[in-house]
Amino acid sequence: MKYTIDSLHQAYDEKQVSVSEVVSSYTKRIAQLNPTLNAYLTVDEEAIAEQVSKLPKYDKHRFPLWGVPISVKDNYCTKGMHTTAASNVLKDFVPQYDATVIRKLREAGAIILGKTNMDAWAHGSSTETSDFGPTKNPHDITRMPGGSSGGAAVSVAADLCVAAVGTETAGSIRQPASWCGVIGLKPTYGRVSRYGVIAMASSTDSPGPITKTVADARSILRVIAGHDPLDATSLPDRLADTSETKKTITIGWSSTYLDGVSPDVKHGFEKTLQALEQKGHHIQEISLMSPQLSIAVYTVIQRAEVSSNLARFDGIRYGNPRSLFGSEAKKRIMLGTFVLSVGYFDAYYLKAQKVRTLIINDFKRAFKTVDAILAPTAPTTALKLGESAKYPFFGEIMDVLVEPSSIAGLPGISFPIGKDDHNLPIGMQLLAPWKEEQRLLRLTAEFNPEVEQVL
Amino acid sequence: MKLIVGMEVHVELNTARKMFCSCDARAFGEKPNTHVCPVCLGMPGALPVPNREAILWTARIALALNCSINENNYFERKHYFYPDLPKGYQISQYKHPIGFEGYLDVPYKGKTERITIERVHLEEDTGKLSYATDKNGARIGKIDFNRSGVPLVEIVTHPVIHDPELAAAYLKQLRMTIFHLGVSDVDMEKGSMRCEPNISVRTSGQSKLPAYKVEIKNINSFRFVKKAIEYEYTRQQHMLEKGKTPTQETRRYVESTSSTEPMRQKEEARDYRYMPEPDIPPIRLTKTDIKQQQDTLDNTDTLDKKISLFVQLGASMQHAEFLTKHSDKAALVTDTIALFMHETIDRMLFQKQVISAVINLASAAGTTPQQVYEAAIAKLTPKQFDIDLLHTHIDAVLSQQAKAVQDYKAGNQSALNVLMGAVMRITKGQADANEVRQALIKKLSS
Repeated sequence: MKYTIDSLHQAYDEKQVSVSEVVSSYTKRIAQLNPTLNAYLTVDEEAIAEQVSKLPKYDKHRFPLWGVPISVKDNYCTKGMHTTAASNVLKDFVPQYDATVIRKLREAGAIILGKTNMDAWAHGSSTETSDFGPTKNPHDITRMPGGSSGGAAVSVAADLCVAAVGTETAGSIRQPASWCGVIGLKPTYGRVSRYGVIAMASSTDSPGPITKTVADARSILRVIAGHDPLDATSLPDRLADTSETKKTITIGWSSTYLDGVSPDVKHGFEKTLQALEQKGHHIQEISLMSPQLSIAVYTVIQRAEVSSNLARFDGIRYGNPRSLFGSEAKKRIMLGTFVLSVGYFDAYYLKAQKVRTLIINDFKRAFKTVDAILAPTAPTTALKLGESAKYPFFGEIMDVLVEPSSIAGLPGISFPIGKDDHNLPIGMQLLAPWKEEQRLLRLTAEFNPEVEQVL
Repeated sequence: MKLIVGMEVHVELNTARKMFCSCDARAFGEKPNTHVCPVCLGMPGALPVPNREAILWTARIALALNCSINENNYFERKHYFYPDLPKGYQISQYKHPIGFEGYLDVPYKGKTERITIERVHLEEDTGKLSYATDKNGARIGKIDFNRSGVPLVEIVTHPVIHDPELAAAYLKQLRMTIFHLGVSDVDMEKGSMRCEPNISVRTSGQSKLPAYKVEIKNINSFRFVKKAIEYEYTRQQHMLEKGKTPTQETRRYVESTSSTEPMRQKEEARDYRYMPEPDIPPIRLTKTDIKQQQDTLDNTDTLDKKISLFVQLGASMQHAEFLTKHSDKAALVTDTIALFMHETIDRMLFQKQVISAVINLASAAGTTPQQVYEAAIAKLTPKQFDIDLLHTHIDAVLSQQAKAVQDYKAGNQSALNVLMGAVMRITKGQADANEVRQALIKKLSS
């Protein structure tokens, strides 16, 4: 089957299939594969049928996602549909309202198939901290998919939907996209509304698409981007229709992003750099601050915001006691509470914010000489299930190469460039200055990255 | 031993919308939990969007209190757990309040006392918690979130008040000042103005502030503020005389005994873990914004504003216009309304009575707000009428109005009104109408 938005619309144009047929083939495939993969936490057939019955007349121009089955990460509030953030604390929570992204998807004609698995509260890069069991990587089910949008990436890689929406705080779209061999776009902070997304770290949370093609990522971004009067941090600017016309651009790379990277991934990086050069782009080595430095900054800020954002789950509302928080959430709440305490705020939180400004300035300086930056998305390809428990800061280690750009609020895209010796996908990322998502999409499209359908 | 009082006052703004969502903020007395949305209920994923009007109005209050204004403002999260606080934190301001270092001149005992203001900041109100007993006799808590997210301005003085009566005078002057700005009802009964004195006592010879302070909550009239401070002054002095240091704590004022009792202990300052609110970008108040608020302040005396002020208070258009032309009477009305309120009488009824009492005066000269207050209350409170005299009047009416008596006994209920009207006329309206009705019915049925 393996539909993309464009190929599905073509099938609708030619009346090859009906939306009900498409939807039911997806629900059948989910019923068949989800018991193994655990990509979806909720698939609500009744809600799907209702969405199909309420679709307006087919018009792909007015409704750019008309009849497109989409999966949604389980931290987006969906009216009338369970929203758990993969935590037992919210296992019975049914929101009264739709997140802005969900409203926009519905208005564009998308069919929401269900809610995808994730690390509980988006705390992690493995999807192993989900209270409802880990998601398996379809390229090798003994391996993890990455996270926290692991269910979303798997739903795309295993063709359990046409496209997905995930969220990224630092790596949660790009890293699982990389490990699952799909395309993951983390937009500029503020480009897509956070309203209705269960907050992890408010100052870096960025909703975005996970897709099979660059064109699909662009189509979804166009639908979900834009200023939202319900999110004071959303950008006032409109998304540019297309990228600038300049055919060849300068692409920078920094050796600091290759420290500790596995040989396979490093080799993939070099091949990608060569390919860019062959396409006529100018390659330039730059010197970026070591991404290792951003781990401390990110950890302090993110834990502080997590401890604050989880305070509302006080055991009075939502029906479940605080004892149901998993150990990862508890650790983050404790560390965050500590760094915000009187006497420590200046030493940790305030200092971290100052270093954050230095990281932002480091990128600003780099983007004076280059138009985009290429780096590996993750230091390794997908690791074995169970590995995450061995490292107390697993997420931070696996996300080291995406953290600086997340902290700086920059857009980034991860795309597959080939496989390693274990036949596992390798992902590369491109970074651009604020608000330059279109440049990333255009540049990535030059590779025409192939998403292999597995299973 | 010297009394040291700093005053914290909370004032709810009467903006149309709540502080961080578009819910109708004027929810006082409405059915519980009808003015709510995901934002003011603190639902997962909901985000606050600040109400600019509330920010400008806070600046207006700060300017009226002669404060400096911060041009760069941001909100902070103040964390604590309480059932009426749905997010686990209150969005408030900590390091940089909108207004700082001002003062209010308070007329006091024929002189002017300057009370210095430390800060004026903006935050959101919490929900309202109440307790009840369910049908099985278990104690249950109820939370009404209508008030959650209503803009709340906190005004904090330096610890410069040394006299309970001056504390009350400050509050009256503050209430009058804010009332004239048209940004709040400043009504203590409705809770749109709440006062919390922080009280400590300095022993003679000491030059620094005492190492403790006691905060008093649950005070809903100026009179009780004075009483609470007097009680605390005595209580703390006694402790200090015995060589003990009063505990740093929050106490509650108990009206029935005019005393205070412990509410919760504050062994050390609570750690609210303030952090900048990441959901709200910094807010700039430009020089133009500030000037606009200053201009509004300077123009509060314009004719239209004055007329609408009096209409809001309950005056007819005609009376409102009359008052704008008679500034001495107008001042007497606003002073009386600002200075006095009555616990048991509807505020609007009271205001209307004050206006009519002042308008009917031959001249405002020589009449004090106290006298106007008493006259208004006298009109509104039924007089105790001599019961024997009342019965004499009723008997007289019954014998004079034979036809009405006959009609009533024949089943014509409206005849009772005729008889009542006659009794009320004789008693010049001073008898209690209900009492008269009951007495008449009793006599007619015997």
